[in-house]
Amino acid sequence: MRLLTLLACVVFAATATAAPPFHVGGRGDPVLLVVGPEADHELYVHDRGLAGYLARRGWSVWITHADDLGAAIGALADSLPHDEVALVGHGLGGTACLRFLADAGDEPRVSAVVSLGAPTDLAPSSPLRSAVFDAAADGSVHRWSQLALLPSPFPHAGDDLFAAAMTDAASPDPIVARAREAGSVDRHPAMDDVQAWLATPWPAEPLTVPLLVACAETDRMAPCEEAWRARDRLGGTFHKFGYMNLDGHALGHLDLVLADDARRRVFPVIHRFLRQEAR
Amino acid sequence: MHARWTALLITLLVGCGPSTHHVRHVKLLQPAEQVAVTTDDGATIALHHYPPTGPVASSVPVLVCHGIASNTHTWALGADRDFGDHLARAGFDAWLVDLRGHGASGPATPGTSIDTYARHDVPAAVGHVLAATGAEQAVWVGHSMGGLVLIAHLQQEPVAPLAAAVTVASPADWRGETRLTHLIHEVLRLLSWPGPLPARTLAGFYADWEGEIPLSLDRIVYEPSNMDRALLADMMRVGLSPIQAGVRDQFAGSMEAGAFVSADGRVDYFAGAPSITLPFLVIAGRVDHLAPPERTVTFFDRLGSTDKTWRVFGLDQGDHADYGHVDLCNGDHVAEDVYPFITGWLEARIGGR
Repeated sequence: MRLLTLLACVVFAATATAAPPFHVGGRGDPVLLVVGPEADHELYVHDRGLAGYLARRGWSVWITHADDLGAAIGALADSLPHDEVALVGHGLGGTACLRFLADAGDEPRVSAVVSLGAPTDLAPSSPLRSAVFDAAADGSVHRWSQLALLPSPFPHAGDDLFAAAMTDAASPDPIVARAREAGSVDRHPAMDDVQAWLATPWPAEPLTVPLLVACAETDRMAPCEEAWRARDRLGGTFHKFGYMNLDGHALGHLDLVLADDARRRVFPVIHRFLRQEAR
Repeated sequence: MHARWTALLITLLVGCGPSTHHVRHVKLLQPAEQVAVTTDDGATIALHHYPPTGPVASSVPVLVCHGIASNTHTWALGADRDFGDHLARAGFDAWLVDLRGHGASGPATPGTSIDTYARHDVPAAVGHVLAATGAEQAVWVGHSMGGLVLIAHLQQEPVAPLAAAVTVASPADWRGETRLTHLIHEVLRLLSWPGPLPARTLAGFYADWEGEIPLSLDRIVYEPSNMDRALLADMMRVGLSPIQAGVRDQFAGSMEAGAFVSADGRVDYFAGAPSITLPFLVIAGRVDHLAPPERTVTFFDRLGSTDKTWRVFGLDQGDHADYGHVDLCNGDHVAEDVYPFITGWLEARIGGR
């Protein structure tokens, strides 16, 4: 499985800008993992990642970039013996899933959606997130690990505040190494476009597709109040990882998909929801 | 270790509380005066008055109320953790309120619930302060249940003479359930005897045997990195009061209803938020587990006020710490983060009036 994942990484990296979704592995009902403009496929396909976890549990796992989401859903639904595809997106990948459904009309060809740490609002503002967006927009960072090199936006705060935007201090060390890889973006995310996208009003009516909106207690890029608001507007189920669910230490933004214990805490929640709603 | 557990067991068996209910580390500030006010249903509540000590910023008095199982010491825990003193120094006329059955107030009346506080204690406190100061309006700042009391009051008395309102860590949105809220609900259900819960006695035990009780449930109510341990122990000794059975039942009923409802279950105070139109500041703590940010923001969204502000306190906002439930009132950095924000917000609305 690890060899398959590695091969998937290599091939997908070589075809990252192509529209067709890439099949990571597994057999069964299709799940499309959506990569946001701020990250790349390593979010999902590292050696203890969500892609391998789902593939081993009877899902056919595919990956696409957020830019290509509509085409990817259409291609999968047309070519596979399934009418619908389940979507899972982390960060802006999750936002892309919600935005797609909000704009898709009555037949989105989507069986269920899971958004993980997906920012859905710009108000009330978060100065730290704004500083991260600014750093990305002016080209100061191309990898999230480079955030740690930037001066703190607040004079009294510690030097690691930018890193805290991405991962909780209590997270195990391996996440730092994974974040260095998974947070890389070879292309500039068009942050103006992202901010305009986040500022776009959501529909007044709830979505008809089963939805799980999940967030992490100390996620500073997509705080839980945004996830709860998204659930308030769009319907669905809300899940908060952290002390509120007595499931261990706090999780940050990237911890949701990169932390060692994501396999124990986060991925089973996704798998159970998909098994219930998308099979 | 065994000796202390034996002592704890003996203490429990003989039915005595911990030996001390006074502070050991903090030097509490004294308000200028303490007055007893009789409510229209015969209860007695205590008000602690902090007149302005600097140039007067506003003639509109500010009432500050504690939450469940606590008393004015939530807001008054010594220098730099005393909001009455902070308001007075900023030029406001501040009054810290003990609801009936809490702190220096008289005993609670039978059946006391959140609705009782809202219907009788809030008008009595506001009425006394307006009469004493000659002001036409006041401001109410409420922590946790002290904010819920106000939300209920505003829907019972839509013409309450208030110029603005501030809720701090008040969980107005009760939809959905987490494992923690489920656990709290189960505990409330198990403890459903007719008398009040001796929160102060239990907290006193916890403070005296801290470190030897294999529980970290205190993390539910404050963020450890933002709270001096010695001061926390002192707060547990002096800052807690019993939870009345009616209050416990109203919380349990709200959990079952998935909504913040009246004691009889007929009024949904969360759904009634659009009827509230006065200037409103809603405050939350980033790592508050009892009133997490998401449980306050949807109430904020529904408020009918045109002048309203929502603010979460945490590292992502440039604050000195992530804030939990109680440390929003008395944590290590409140004098730098929370207090100035509230007074600044008030100055912009009632300053010069």
